[in-house]
Amino acid sequence: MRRLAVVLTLLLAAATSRADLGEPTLELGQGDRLLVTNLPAIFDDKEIAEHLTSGLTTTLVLTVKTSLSGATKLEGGARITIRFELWDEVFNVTAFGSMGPLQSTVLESKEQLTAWWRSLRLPVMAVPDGEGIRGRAEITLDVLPFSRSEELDTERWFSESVLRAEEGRRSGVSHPTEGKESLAEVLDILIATSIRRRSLTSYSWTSPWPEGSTP
Amino acid sequence: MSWATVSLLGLLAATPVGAVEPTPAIAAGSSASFFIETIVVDEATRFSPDLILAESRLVEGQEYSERELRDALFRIVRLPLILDAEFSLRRGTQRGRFQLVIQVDEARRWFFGMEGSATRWSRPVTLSGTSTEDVVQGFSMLAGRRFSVGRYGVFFAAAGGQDGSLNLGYSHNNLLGRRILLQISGAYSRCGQAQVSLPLGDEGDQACRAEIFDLGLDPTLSAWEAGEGTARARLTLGVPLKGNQSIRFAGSFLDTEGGFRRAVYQEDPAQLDFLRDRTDWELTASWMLDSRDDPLFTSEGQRWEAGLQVRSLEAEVERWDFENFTSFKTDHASLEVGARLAGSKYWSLGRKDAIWGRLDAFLGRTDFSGVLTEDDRILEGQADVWRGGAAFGYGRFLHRVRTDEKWQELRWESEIEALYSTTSPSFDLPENPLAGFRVSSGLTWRSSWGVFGLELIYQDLGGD
Repeated sequence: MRRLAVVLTLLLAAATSRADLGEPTLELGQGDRLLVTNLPAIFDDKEIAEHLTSGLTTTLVLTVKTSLSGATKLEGGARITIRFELWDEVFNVTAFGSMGPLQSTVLESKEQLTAWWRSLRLPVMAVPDGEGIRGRAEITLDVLPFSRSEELDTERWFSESVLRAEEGRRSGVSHPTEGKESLAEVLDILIATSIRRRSLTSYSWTSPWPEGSTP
Repeated sequence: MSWATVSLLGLLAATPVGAVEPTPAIAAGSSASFFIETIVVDEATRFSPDLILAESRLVEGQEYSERELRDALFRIVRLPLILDAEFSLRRGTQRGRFQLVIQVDEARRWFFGMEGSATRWSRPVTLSGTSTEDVVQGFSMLAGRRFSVGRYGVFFAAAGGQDGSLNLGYSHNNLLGRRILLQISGAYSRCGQAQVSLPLGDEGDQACRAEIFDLGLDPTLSAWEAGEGTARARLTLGVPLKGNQSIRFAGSFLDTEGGFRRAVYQEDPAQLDFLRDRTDWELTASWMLDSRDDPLFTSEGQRWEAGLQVRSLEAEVERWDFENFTSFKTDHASLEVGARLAGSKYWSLGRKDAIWGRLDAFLGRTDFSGVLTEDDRILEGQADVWRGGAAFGYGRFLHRVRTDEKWQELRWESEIEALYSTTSPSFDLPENPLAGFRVSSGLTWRSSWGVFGLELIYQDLGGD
């Protein structure tokens, strides 16, 4: 019972901690651009804080997806790169919106970085006219450390995919067998226990579609 | 994830939109270079730090761009037994100089597995033992250990599995310096030695592993139970191509001292054939495309495989008439050659849920002789073989923690699949063509220690 109480307390604390960050807001800007504003302060998160001060680039990818009634599926995004200059102790930051580079600046402290981040108005997509858009949109923020890129994704599954090529057959499509090969099972487990963890921090929110976007 | 989309967005022609004035500062992520004065490897307890340093190909006292550092990180992450690695910089002895800290996360040496299943057949079946059953249970446990050998090699040894085998293997991830993957493995089992029986199981089920071959190898729909001593060997060679593509060559060989062969659907479960000197082997050469985000718990991506396949099954089969105490023998030999296309595609439905579809098709020709049917006919000749399947599945993460401290995942997966198999001519066999379906649902737990799964299956192979 005591253990359950501790677990519940920890879960509540974690949930409260995430909720305390606040939620981003969607706004409609000039030229029918959808803007993400009021970005939550995330730089105190332990994993992000570690990457931010590594001296190497940390990338934040913001994605907005709609599943709105009366509209086709829309998707857009923005990207922010941050690198801490160890000798000058400043943050070099660049923001890319849906139309390309948005701004580059140098910030002298983490507090300034947080204030800059909170003040960002990031254009993420052009809103199509002629459709009545209502409902909510999903906003996702992925924090990608220096080590992550598509190249890594391309290469890291090579050996796993080659060794697990028997998957379809063993699962019964063409081998309706009771027994599975124990040798393949060993390889499965060998592979499964050496899969790289994705030490990527993600946040996800849903936000109401801004008023005024309905014609 | 729309990472690629967002990357493309960033590369689009610049049209400043924001209200804040751009500054002339150096953009983060641009081609910054760092003079690396010293390099430190942290948290390497099972690997030699020198090995990691050598694989990074970084040298102290040199200047490296962020791109070059990233490439070095990829080389380290590709090392066997390394789960993950991170780079960070510290100030050096003077301005503009840095110390590079390489922090590695190593895989565990020990790995474990457990798999349990209960299959409810639409008709009573005889796969092994001396009784027909509606429900067939399967259970296996496995424990193994891996060892680093050289820069790119991993040797592993494991005991357990469904027939209590000893497994040994070696993989090399950079053959000829061209990132070619070589995997050699072998197993030897004496069934009954390390058999694990469930409390619910019958005493009569203390049998060796049974396998139902495709109709191209045995058109009679029979279960082949391995003999007391079984040796297996497998060799896989993977050659990476551009992007997510590769060429795979694989060969496997099995030799067993004896065993039994039984019609899966039969009235008299005591009727069986005795096998001697059974060998079966398989060779495949295939092109593969794999963009899945995870080879075990897939949520996104696709996998396609197209290639040629040759399989052979040979054994001396002896059938006894226990009423008259007479017997006769045949030499079963079948050789199947054909082309196979298999593909699967996965769609993510949010953070926890995913659905997938799977297709599998094989078209080939078989040449066999000495195939004994249940009514004592001996089949010989050639036949065209066609088999295919289609499946649809759903998966949901019930628990998922992936942090530096902990890595645990629990996924529930369910799948329904339809399958069809036939030969032409069909030789007037009641189970040819074979048309049925399979419904499965199970839970799988994965952590850095191993994979543990339980599955319930309903299997219908058609027929009366």
